[in-house]
Amino acid sequence: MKHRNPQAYRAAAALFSAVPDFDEVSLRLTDPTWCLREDDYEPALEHELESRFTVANGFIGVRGSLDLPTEASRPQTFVAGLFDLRPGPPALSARVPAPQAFAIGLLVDGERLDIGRGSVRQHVRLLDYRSGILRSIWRHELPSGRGVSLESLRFACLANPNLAVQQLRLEFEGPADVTIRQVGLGKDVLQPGNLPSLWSTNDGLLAIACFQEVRLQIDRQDPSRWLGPASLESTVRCHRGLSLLQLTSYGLSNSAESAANQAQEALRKGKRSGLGGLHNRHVAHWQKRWETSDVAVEGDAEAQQALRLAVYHLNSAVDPMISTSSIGARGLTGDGYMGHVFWDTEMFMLPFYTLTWPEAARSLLRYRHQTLAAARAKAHRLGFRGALYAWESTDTGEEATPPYAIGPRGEVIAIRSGDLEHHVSAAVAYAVWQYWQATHDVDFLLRYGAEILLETARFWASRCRLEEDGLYHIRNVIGPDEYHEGVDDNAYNNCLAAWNIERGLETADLLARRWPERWQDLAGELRLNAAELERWHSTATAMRIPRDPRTALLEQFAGYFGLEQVDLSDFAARTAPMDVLLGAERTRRSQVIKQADVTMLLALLPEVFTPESRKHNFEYYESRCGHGSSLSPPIHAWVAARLGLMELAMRYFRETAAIDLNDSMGNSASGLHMAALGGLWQATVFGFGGLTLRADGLSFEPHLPEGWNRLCFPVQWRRRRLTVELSRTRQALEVKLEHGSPMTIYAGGAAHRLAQGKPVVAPLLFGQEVRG
Amino acid sequence: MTQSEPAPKVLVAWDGSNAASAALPVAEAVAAQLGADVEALYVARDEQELEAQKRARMEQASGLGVALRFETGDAASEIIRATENPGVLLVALTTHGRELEPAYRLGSVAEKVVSHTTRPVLIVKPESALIAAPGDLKRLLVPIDGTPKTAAALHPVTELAASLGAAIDLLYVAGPDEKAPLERGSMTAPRYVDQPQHGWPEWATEVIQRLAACCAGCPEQVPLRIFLGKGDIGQEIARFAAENHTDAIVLVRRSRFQPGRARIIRSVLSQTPCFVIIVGGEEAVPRGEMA
Repeated sequence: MKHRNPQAYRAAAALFSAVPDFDEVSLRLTDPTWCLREDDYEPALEHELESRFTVANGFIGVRGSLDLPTEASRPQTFVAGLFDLRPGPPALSARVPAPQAFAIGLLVDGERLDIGRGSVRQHVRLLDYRSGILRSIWRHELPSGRGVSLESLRFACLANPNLAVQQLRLEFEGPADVTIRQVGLGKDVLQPGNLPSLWSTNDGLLAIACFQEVRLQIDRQDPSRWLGPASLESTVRCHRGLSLLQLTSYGLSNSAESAANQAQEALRKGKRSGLGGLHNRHVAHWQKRWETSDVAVEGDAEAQQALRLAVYHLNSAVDPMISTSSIGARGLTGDGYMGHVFWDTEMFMLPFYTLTWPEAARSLLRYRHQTLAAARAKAHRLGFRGALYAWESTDTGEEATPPYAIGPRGEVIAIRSGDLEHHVSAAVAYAVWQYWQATHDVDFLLRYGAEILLETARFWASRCRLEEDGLYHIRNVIGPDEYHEGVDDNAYNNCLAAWNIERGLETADLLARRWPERWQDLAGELRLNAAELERWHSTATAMRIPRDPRTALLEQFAGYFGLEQVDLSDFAARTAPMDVLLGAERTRRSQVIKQADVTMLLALLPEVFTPESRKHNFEYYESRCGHGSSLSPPIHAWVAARLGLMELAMRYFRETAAIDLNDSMGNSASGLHMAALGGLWQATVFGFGGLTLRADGLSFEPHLPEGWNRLCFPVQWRRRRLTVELSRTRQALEVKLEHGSPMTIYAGGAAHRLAQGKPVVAPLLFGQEVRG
Repeated sequence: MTQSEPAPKVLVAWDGSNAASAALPVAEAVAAQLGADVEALYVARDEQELEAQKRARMEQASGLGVALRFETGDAASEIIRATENPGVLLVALTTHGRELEPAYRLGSVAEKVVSHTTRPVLIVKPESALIAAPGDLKRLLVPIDGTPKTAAALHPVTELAASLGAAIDLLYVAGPDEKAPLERGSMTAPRYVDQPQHGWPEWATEVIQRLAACCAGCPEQVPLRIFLGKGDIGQEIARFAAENHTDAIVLVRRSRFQPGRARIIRSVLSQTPCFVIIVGGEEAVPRGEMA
């Protein structure tokens, strides 16, 4: 076929053929641990697959729905920070979906392309973790007997975070009229703005802009100019098929003008780059992310697959340029948990970012600084001082926990977490301190971190009461184990409170010594004086930590040891949580716990326990844990690995992996469990790798699970890059300093000087309890 | 309705016994709700029996106010054949007629009909029909096992609910030792619920949407609610029905009535006075036998 303008044709070829096609990529992706592949279409599985196949870049998240969604689909696009007031009762701030990124319908000679109609010859979805690109191929016989094939790729651009990209290639037998339709932008939950591409939230606080433009190429001829949504809807005559390149850009701001500018600029840059340019830069960005975050496992493909899925989605969840929002419980993969931010982010995800992507960690912690005012207001409302973070937080940081829920048996359940679950403040402080330890980011500490540490310490100091026994008590709280509400002296809570106060004091001391001017300013702003610091000291040193002196067991909370013991082996094959099977009242009166509580303490603050008592405490509480939360198995894997209980550690590791890889909880449909993904990384790095952050460096107590021949992961530490490798062949741990100045590490019971070109090698620990 | 479409009807299998007659007022009430006619079917073993019974049965049916038709042959086979006639929306029969099968609580004819017809079968226990006059079927209880194939079998039930103007309560029963089904795409109760205020509403939404995806959609006008029960499945279904004003329990039959199979249907029939509607589904692979 002769083309009028050869130059334009070459440009068109570049526009649409600049990226490898499905078959080429599929052939190249021979390692199944680097991709997620689904070769079938089962309507019942659509929602969980959509979550798993999400492409996201921290600002935009597009669920991995079919390119041409059906009734079984839940196609949604999310923009980080897009919260709106959800009408009540109770009215609550909740994340709302943005206008859909890809919302096109196709008809061939009047027949709608719908996977539910006709016969599927082939349908494959393929998410390439390395490049963050989702591809699909769909070969289908329409009810009329006509054969069609639709190939697609999509990505949320890492190089241009306001932009989502989709390419569709439709081919069919014989000439036909192809009708292109907009099937709705999913904007029904928003208020239309004064321009077609602008919307505002119902509370009027946010404006979102969404621009879409498309280029069409019919029968591999010259492509069309860029078409807006209005001119896209058309019917065209094709002999072999058509290709369609769609760019969708988003802007979010409290001003419509700013939102529109962001989106327009992103679209303009995207159009200029074209598919090839966008693709190449996107892939290059992903390559950099993997270089500093990939966890390699040899000898266990299932574990490797789970870790790659986890790291892929963790890397997809943050845009380090955004500090006005954080990662919700389901990230950008679904609408679950209303997009609310919990302690999950700080306790389960932050360590990954702090040690592999400090810029992302910093932006997430800045969100907690931005919401400090709301945390202060909450503490004040409940009669305390300092900062008490919302149990469920959105853009403003105000408490967004629903006050009640309708339970599975139709009963009304009062939700008390918003009032009583205070350990979230300690979680934020823990993450800030860990970030400071790992980065020594002075700018962050002085501008944001110190204030958080001091205000959370102040909260705990005000939350405790000195009682007749001369000890400080914290009464009427909910610890991580939410089956027992309104308890007194929860061990985890009290230990973290004391720890938080101590870090507040350490921060005050550090600032006063090294940055006295900043200390003076900050102490003045916070009205913090020596007398108050002295009170903090008294509180931290006299905190009640309930412990049985005979057994060295920590009592999870006052009165726990006296509760009914339930043999959980009687419920081993259950499909429902223990509080449903036992009933809420009996659960409250029993020792059955929802998730790691004292065990969480073993992970975070092992120094609370004598080395001899750690295993005993773990075994006692592990046998009483119903694992009613996705947060529970990863912490158990971590602690079991540190204790050398490798079989148990691997069982919990696999349970964690299955939560999203196999939807073992039955609720990945509304999004992936970001904390479990972060927890899987922690179980690997802190558990099997045995990594501990110390004030003067890193220490390792490495345990390599049975069947794993090699575990290798990168770590960043105070502007240095390290590679950690556990090798079964060599029976050794090897730590290399790839970049940065020499430092101290601890391994094999000794301190070592680590320098570039001089790796440290130490023996592995095999399945024994670690002492000391 | 076009002229070519047959009039909708509720077919009642009736052997003239007092027990079988208990299905007639129920069928009439349901037919009125559906805007359908009632047709009773009497199957005689042979022409001789037909001749002997015809007049008496016609008089009896006339007294009961129902249209009656006759067939000869094997009772179960003829009833099954008749259920497949166009226009039959529902088949009504009592657990037993002249013959009594106390061990299974379902007579042999009823059992065969339930096993082979493609239409929903409304089972009436003769004794329960005597307790209270039949009212409208406004609330259907549909126990589910979370499998796509059970959900797929519910398509006629959702259509029936729409025609009846009835609401559907879905019930999933979790047991302390209840293994999850292995059928691909199955969804049970979530074993982990991180936060009940989010976890339960999302589970409910997903169960309903997944069911709709599997059974080709549920008409919008049918109100759907989902509940989670616990304990023995048959007992829990009976308890739920008693406490929630259930008018009929809908059960999907995914196995034949061999000894040891159709355990839940037998259990429910033995424990509840409620009407039971049985629909056929694809044969289930027993738990633990699927690859």
